[in-house]
Amino acid sequence: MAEDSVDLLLDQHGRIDDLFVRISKAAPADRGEPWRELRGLLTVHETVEEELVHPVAESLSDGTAEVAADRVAEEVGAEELLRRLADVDPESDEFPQAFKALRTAVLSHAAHEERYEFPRLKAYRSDELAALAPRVAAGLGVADDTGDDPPETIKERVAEAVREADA
Amino acid sequence: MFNPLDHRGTPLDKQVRTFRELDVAPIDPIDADPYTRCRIITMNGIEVEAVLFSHQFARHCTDPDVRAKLAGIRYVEAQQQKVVNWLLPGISSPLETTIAYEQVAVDLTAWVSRQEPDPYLKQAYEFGVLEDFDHLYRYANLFEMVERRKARKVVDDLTEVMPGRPTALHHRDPVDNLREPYDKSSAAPISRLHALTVMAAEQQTMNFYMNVGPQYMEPIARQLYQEIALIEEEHVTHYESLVDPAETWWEQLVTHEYNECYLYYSFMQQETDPHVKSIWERHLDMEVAQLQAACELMKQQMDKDPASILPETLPEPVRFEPNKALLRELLATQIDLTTLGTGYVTEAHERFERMQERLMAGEAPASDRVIEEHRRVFGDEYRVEAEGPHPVESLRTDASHA
Ligand SMILES: [Fe+2]
Ligand SMILES: [Fe+2]
Ligand SMILES: [Fe+2]
Repeated sequence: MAEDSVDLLLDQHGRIDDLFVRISKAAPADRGEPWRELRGLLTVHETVEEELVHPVAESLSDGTAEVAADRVAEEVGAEELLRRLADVDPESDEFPQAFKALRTAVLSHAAHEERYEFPRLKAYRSDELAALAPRVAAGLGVADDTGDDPPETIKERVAEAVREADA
Repeated sequence: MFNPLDHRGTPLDKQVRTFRELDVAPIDPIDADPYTRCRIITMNGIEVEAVLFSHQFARHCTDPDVRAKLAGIRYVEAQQQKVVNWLLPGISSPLETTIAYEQVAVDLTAWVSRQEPDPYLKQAYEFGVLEDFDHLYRYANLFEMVERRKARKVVDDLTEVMPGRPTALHHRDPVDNLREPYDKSSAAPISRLHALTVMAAEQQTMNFYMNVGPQYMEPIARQLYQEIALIEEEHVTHYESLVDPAETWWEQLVTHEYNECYLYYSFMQQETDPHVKSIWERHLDMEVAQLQAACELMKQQMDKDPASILPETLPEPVRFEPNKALLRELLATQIDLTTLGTGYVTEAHERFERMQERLMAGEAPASDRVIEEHRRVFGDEYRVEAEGPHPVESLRTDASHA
């Protein structure tokens, strides 16, 4: 089964899910490491969606463009929550509540994409999704080593990886 | 011990709730105990049965006063169903909920089989549980394939995910799905409650699959739902045929209401989520009054004491808890069973073979293909074997890959 762009995104949704579960159930001292991984992963993932995938949906007429616009708005909201959490010590007492807000926002957002946006892309733009797959894969691949890079750096690295895949 | 017959509960004319009260906050899929979700799914099945049973009763009832009484209680049961089922979070996909339905079928039926005093009835639960156990494994493989999620996040380590009696072999001639009913004059009251509970749970599973299956676009998902939905039809036939058809409508109504009291009471004892627990408590108070009304009807219409068909004290509360050891034992001893007439055999008899050929016409069913596909895409199959290798050697992964 050749993996199209949506399959690649779904794979990361699964990974994002797992990390949210892991951090939610971890002892405070054990949150740091998966939290670092999740932060980088979220920035990479949403950047790829915004740069490559939502634009495909935005080119569709039957309401799909509006569906995609709603998704972008959710991503902006989630990014704001992520930014606020950046300064919170993951071992602190204030972390769980703010983290749960982010978790709810991100997981609902992913569910919305899977329910309202991706099925339409698969139904109407399957060729485009397949053609985009190498670039999506390259962009998402940045998530494998984001280290402590700040979001701006991560976004640049994603853009570069996508450009290289084009070349 | 709590005896529902000793309480008055919430008066019937105070039971209708406002929309605002019906609009309950759903559980969080990550924070919630998987067994809280199982209790929600079970009580939804029970309330759906309460509503459907009452409709059937009304359609066979000529007395306008009784029809009015039934309509009033039924409306409240319908509201209870809304409150209970709306505890499920919208964020979960139908397939995720499907996996939870199969977890219910496994751990509820296993618990019932352990408590059931009648050996013939016990056998019926032991037989059925190995099939839903296999459905869990097939859906878990589908889940990872189409949603890239792992079933372990739904079932945790409470219920194992591995092959049971192969789903392909659940397709029997319909005649062989009928069991022998218990005898209402001699059956233990707990046996009636068990049969009703498991029948209701399976009926809701059947309803759920027949409705959500076509919402999937992937052909393998559509086909798997269709196949398993047909097996749930067989399961409903299997479990409902255990109930003595000679029970009158009045007796059945009393048994239904008593069972609702029993289950809400049970789950109230075990519930860890305070919000959900408060709902079980409130519903118990309502059911107690519904039970009184049902008892009144039975006394008037049949001139028979309802206590004669009910347990003297409330039976031991139903619990959701792991049944891994029992399932492993059943896998080791009963995986080869099928049915012939109302009994159980190990050979693939002629009528069974004929039905198999009729349905499959030489092709592999979706339940087999979903595993093959998963192996092809992911290099292995999805399992959660928390307690070690599969008890049946030929069903261990190394063996099946060889
Ligand atoms: Fe996403
Ligand atoms: Fe009810
Ligand atoms: Fe079943």
